[in-house]
Amino acid sequence: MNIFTALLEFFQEASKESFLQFWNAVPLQQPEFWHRFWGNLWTGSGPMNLISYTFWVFLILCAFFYYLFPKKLKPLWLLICSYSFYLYDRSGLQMVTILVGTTVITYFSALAISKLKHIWARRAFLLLSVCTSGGLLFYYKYANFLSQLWADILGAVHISVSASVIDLPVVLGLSFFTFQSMGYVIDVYQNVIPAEKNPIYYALYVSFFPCITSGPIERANHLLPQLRKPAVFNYDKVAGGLYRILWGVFKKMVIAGNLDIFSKEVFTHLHKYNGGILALAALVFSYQLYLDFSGYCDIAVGAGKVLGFDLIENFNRPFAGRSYSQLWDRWHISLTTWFRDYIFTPLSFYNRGLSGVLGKLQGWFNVFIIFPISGLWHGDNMGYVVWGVLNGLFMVVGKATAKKRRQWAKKNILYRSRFLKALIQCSCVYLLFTICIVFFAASYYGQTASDGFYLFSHLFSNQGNSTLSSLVLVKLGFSPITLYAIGISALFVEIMEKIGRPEQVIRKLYFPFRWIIYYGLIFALLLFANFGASGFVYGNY
Amino acid sequence: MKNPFPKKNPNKPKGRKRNPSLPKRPTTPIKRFLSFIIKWTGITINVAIKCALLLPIPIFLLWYSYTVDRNGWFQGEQYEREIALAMLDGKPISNFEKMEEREITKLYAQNLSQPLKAISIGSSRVLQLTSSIAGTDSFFNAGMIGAEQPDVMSSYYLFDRADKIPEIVIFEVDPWIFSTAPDATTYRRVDWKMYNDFLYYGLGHDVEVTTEQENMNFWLSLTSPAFFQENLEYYIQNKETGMRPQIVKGDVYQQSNDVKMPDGSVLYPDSMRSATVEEVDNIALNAITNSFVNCEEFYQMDSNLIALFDEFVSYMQAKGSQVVLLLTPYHPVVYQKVLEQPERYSGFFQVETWLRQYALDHNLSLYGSYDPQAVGCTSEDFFDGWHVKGRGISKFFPGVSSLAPYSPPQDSSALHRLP
Repeated sequence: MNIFTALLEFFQEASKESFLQFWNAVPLQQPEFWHRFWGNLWTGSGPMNLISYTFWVFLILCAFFYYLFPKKLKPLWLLICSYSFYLYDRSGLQMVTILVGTTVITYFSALAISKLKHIWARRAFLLLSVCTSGGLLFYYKYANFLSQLWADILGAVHISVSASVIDLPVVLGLSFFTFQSMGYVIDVYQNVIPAEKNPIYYALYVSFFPCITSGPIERANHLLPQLRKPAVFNYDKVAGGLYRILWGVFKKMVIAGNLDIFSKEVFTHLHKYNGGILALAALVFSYQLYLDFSGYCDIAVGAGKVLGFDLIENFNRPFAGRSYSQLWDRWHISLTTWFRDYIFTPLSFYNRGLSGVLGKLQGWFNVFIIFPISGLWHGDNMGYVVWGVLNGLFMVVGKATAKKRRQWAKKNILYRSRFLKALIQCSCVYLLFTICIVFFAASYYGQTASDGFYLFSHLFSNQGNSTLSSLVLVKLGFSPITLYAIGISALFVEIMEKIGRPEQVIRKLYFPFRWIIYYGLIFALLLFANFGASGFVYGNY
Repeated sequence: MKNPFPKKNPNKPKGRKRNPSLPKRPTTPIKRFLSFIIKWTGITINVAIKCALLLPIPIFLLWYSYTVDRNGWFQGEQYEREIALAMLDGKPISNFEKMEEREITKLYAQNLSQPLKAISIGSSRVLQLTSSIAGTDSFFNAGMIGAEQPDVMSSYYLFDRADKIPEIVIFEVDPWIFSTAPDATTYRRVDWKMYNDFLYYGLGHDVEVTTEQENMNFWLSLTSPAFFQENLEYYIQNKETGMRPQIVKGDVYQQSNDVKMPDGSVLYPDSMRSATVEEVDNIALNAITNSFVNCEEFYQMDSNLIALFDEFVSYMQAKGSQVVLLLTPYHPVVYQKVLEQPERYSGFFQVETWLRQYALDHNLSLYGSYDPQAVGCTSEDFFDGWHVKGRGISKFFPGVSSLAPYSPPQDSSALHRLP
């Protein structure tokens, strides 16, 4: 019996009496029920999860009063909501202190930079704010990592030093709000934008709750103007935003959540499985990571739209990219553009005098260096660094060979078919990306970089006696219908996203079709979602 | 340096040009107010319609979970009533692990036509005590699988509340009911409402009784999509395997699952009953190597639990029940391993000595011992490390017709061994 026949049978067996029995028994009219329901929403244990009734009720309340309040109060209300979002976690006070500290220092630094004329004075304030934001990021994320690294280095030269471990809390969204505040100050320093005088607008820019936990990393010239000019209620936009949230939850829970069960099992027991399964797990993880993170960003963008804001789109179908650089133009766009604007461009500017081979090498270095830094940004694990280094190498090789490859492409017979050409190019990009992602996955699942190398060295091994079907169907307990559901869902997502942004596509559909999709997505969630899935992959950065 | 933010041209008209195709803004405050009301009424109606369209989904979610009810919170009573009545009618039940035993015992007590002569209370370690071993047909074994201290006490209270006080209570005392260690207090299946009612009404303790808290939590869990999925899975499983408890059809001794007999005792499946001594020894050894069930970190008998035990015995006596303490033995391999670790299980070793003294002081009957050697039980008398067979119980329990107050045995070999 499968899920659908079970449901059908339930409806066949159901009677009016059984429904009335339920309806008369359900205590919806009892205040105690609602009191407890309300109480259960605000447990405060851990940060507010974006896939929870708590967040959705919080968002609805926030939006309701936001549209109800007069224009002048709107930013203040959003700021209160953003800080409440932070303080929801009982241990959030320390995190808020860090957030407030970063906000105050960068706010005044930017004001000072905009007022001061002397270049060194401006630079001093720039340095102060960059050091504050960067220092906090560095301290909270890498203190223990560096301590361990130092002990390992000394250990290698036979000097015994025990690595001191500092008990540091995980600061919610640290990597995101520090980058936002740094970006803002650099923009002010470079006269790209004026310094924001209103502290409420600026504090809200740094702490805006839909995107503060896991991005997208907003840019001051994009978000601040919207904060200054609060949007009026627009039904289509709010409805589109809610649909975007549903879309994100669907991607995350139905597809990524289920794929996570498979990847987690394989990556945490690499030694048990043969090369075929290891390779499949690596390929699966690439797609899982994409849907997990882009699903999160859909929720963040949707929440922004419910409040009338347009947040930066973080993904644009990355695996449709025909080259490695195209993939990175479409993947985690807010972070990539941040690195481009604040690291790559300044580096290129300062090295603009170089020419010839030296200039080329310098250019490649500038492209390369972004990725190891990006790897470090993701976490204090060597696996992330290796991931970054490999990505940097692929990018550099891609750039260096671009001309030659274009010449060869003209002679390639297979490329005469547009479909085949696209298929080959996209597959190559996906494979290259997967080669890198193995190290990312190893780190994410608590393994080490050496486990990533282990996977590659055992790609053709026959170790373990598990077959793919016994692993998936027996050990992990997937039913064939769930596997079909995952496949169909993935296809549906790809087709819909090819047409356009989900909220735009859905609003163009006729009412009945729109509601068929709403119901379809919700039922897919109820039937196939993995509700026990761990948090977002990007939830701890 | 060139100013990157030049002041705006003062002659430039402020704001965007208004689209002439849009309706004109109302001019007077009343018109503006009316326009505001009309606009928001429209939005409210629109939102209400969309919410109404979505409403069937949460209602279905709740209804489905309520109807399938994998935990037996809502549909259980009616079903369990049928089971209880079947047992009263003398029919054995299979797959009874799925049942809420407390509910069955409550319904059994409520539906008794008259009080029983004897009942036994305790954990699964007493479930082999049958009416023939007890020596009376008017007997019900109210032992519960995984029973902890609150369960044991509540089970007697179920008979008290139903006004069916038994003449004799065979109280199988497990050592862990005196332990406050986490291993003994997991409270996996405790019915707190029942226990609090017992403490309040039975023993007169000042506790909060009969709150609707648990009930509300059950209702709230219906809102969980994860719970919906569990119910869906449970529904499919039930349909495929017919796992729900049912009246045994065919030979009761040929069942592949545990069978709850009409007297409340449990008949283990044939495979378990026919295990060889070597197999049972291995099972026992593996079990004790893993942990001494419910008795880990039990270093000292808890004074509050001792007082509660005393209150409970007095309460039963005050109600007119004769209390018989029964100590069921552990498998020889288990007891030997425990003996070898006196510090680890120091609390355990205090219990039997204390109980013997207690029985002596209060003129109670006491039969059995945790030490199999003291009661003449060997490996052959066990199913596993913890559960003695009926014939093992017969070796030390004479039945309710021959009860006598406890007196210390003259032969020291009939006493439990201590480290």
